[in-house]
Amino acid sequence: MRFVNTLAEKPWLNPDDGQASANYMVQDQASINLFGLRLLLAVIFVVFALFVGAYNMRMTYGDVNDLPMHWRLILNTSILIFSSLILHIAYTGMDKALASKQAVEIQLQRRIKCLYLIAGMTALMFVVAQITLCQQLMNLGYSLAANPANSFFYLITGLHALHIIGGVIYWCYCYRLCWQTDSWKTTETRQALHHQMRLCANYWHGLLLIWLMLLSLLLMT
Amino acid sequence: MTAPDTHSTYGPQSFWWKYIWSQDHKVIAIQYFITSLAIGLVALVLSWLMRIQIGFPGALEFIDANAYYQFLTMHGMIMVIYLLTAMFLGGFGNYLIPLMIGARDMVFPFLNMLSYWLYLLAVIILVCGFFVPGGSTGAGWTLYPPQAILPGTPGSDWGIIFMLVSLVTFVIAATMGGLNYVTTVLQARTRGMTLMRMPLTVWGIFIASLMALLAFPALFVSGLMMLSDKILGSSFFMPAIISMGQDPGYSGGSPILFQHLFWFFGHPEVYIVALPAFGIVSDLISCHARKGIFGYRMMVWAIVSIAALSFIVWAHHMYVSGMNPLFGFFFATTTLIIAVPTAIKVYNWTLTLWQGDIHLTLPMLFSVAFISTFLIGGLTGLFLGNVIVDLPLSDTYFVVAHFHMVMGMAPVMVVFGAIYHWYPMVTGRLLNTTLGHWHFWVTFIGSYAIYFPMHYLGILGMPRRYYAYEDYSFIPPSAQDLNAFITVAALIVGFFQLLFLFNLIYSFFRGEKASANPWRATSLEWQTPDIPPTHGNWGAQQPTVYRWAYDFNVPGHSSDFIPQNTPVMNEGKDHEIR
Ligand code: HEM
Ligand SMILES: [Cu+2]
Repeated sequence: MRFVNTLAEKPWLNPDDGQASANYMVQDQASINLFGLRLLLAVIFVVFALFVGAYNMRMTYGDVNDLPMHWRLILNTSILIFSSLILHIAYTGMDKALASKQAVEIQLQRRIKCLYLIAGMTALMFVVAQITLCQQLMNLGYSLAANPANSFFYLITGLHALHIIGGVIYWCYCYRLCWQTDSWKTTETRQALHHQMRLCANYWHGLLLIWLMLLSLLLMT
Repeated sequence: MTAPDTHSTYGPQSFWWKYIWSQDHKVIAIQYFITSLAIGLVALVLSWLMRIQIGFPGALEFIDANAYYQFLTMHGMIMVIYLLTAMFLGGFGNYLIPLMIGARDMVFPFLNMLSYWLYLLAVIILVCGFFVPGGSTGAGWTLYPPQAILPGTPGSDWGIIFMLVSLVTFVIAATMGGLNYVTTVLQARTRGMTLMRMPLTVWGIFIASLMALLAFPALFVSGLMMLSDKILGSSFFMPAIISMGQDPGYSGGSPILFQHLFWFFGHPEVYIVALPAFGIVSDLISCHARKGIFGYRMMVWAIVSIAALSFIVWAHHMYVSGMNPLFGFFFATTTLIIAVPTAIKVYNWTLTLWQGDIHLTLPMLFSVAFISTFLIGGLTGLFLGNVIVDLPLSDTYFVVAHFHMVMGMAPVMVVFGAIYHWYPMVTGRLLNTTLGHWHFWVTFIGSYAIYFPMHYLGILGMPRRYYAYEDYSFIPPSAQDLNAFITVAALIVGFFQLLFLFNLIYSFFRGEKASANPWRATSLEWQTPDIPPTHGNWGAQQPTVYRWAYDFNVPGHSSDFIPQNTPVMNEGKDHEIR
């Protein structure tokens, strides 16, 4: 709606003497980053949505087999959900750390670091679990070329895992920041850390949502 | 803060950081520009070779059928993607967006740099594709399977792999760029620069970037799937098929699926190139006719609605694929609807010229040439948008004529006009006008000489993508004369592009020194404290915007233009207050 209102403006009517720009909001780099990240997630979503579309179209050709993997997939998914959840808790812990005026208690710090570590590790675990799942399927004879369902499965999970790995690399950067005592000293540094964790959590949740979409696709067929 | 309002982050830098690993949007823009021009030159030479083969069959020994297909494919792909897309978004977008909206740089400068280097990598992979065993792919720029990856098509071993890898890399580069452009426009506009005060150039590039973000994934996905078919033997797109007496082991895949994915990217792609051209040409016309753009709001609406519509017309490229007639009906309808906002834009350009104070500068000449070529190309698009008309015309030279008028010549005219317009801002010197006039008249008349006869050849039934046209009973021998004529015209036009390149280099050193705002333009990019703008663009203080970009010849003002950063109270006075 706001966009429609914008489009209805008549810019030629009122050149102003600074009135219109008085309520101008300068965007800080943090919200710019967040915006950019969400845009990126939207693009990644489009990539996978196109895979879903292609999958559905290809599946109508009737030469599709079923992969015996449902419960394993659900298990792996729960790992990913767990990871997202833990990251979220760590991030909300950071909220608390920001709110406190004095130096952050060591205990809270430790808790955040610990949760943060678990989140990263479980994400890695998810990737490993996906890889072993693929390997087992291959050993059972479900090779990539044997059937379109297999091809889609490997391609989609592989690409998704790559995105998770990208997230983990970013997570490493955040984790290093989290580990340095300097990051906890002043309000500014804590804010910076908080911001990084927020971006990280956003990416994590975004990829989780995308995975849930893919999972429902894989389970339905 | 978009960026700290101090000079500290934009201080002096060493040569290496300034020109090579630069994160300055202006340097990256030039890098994009030069790279795309260089690879575009390759595509130009390829077109000469093809034309020589068609006009004078057998004149060049080394062009056999395979080589011809390889030239054809690489020419198309380079022109559409590596030249036009890269130049409009990476080149013009990078240079103009921050300057026109009053920002100091893109919001993610590092990502911007990465985007360029990945683009360069994509170009290098593409070029390597020429030299692999079997040569580059000859599948046509649409890369349709199954032929694209089966033996018999040139380059089906390695060429196609290099092509696809290069495309996938390009998509990643373009996505990085697109994220930057869109976020910069939405988040980093300077004080007073509301969305509806942005020059149409920014609107065009902004919406085109948004489209790129949504359309390129389709190319990415289809590229990955085809790579998997080729290398890993899956059957996404490959049906059960006997190829050269052998069974390559595919079964059940759908070539049509590829076509859908490709054109879901491919049609928006033509507007990814067209929208920046639309935007730029609007500003050129307005500035050089000293008149506010006619129907600014309608222009913005047209850009937005064209972008939205162009995602639901893709199958007009597939009328001959045997689809359900009801689909054909749907896509023909949407295709014809898209002509409405497009036509509105053409009317508005014309009405901007109407009673304007037209200066026949080179940018203006090229803008008029754009309107003319775009109009012709758009009209033939309307022919092709109708299923029954398209069926006989599809895959003939009529289509070649259509898309070269509308996508080949028209945006290229804008590129030239834009270069003549902004060259003084980038280099501080004007391009030589005498050379420029030669360049203009030959290119403009030449483009009609080349492409107008092709409509006729297409209606005669001359198929596109054939290597030789001898001994077809349905093509009259006189067609060969026409083909020879086209070839001569193409070579002449091609030669004059080299003259233009010479002008670019010559004027850089010898050109007449330009004043700070030689076209007396209103938009912000001309209002920087230094021309050419330095790192950080705005000196100590980012500008404040008080008006839209089209205050030309406002009644009751001494000067015939008012820059965007002039407050109301200073209107009557001079425009020195930068
Ligand atoms: C009124 C607007 C337009 C209409 C109705 C239209 C319609 C069509 C149709 C139906 C085709 C398919 C012809 C065939 O293969 O049988 C086509 C091809 C093409 N059009 Fe357009 N078009 C329009 C504008 C544009 C614009 C603005 C551009 C680019 C800037 C463009 C670029 C192309 C290209 C590149 C092809 C050929 C693709 C290929 O097969 O290699 N068109 N157009
Ligand atoms: Cu199209």
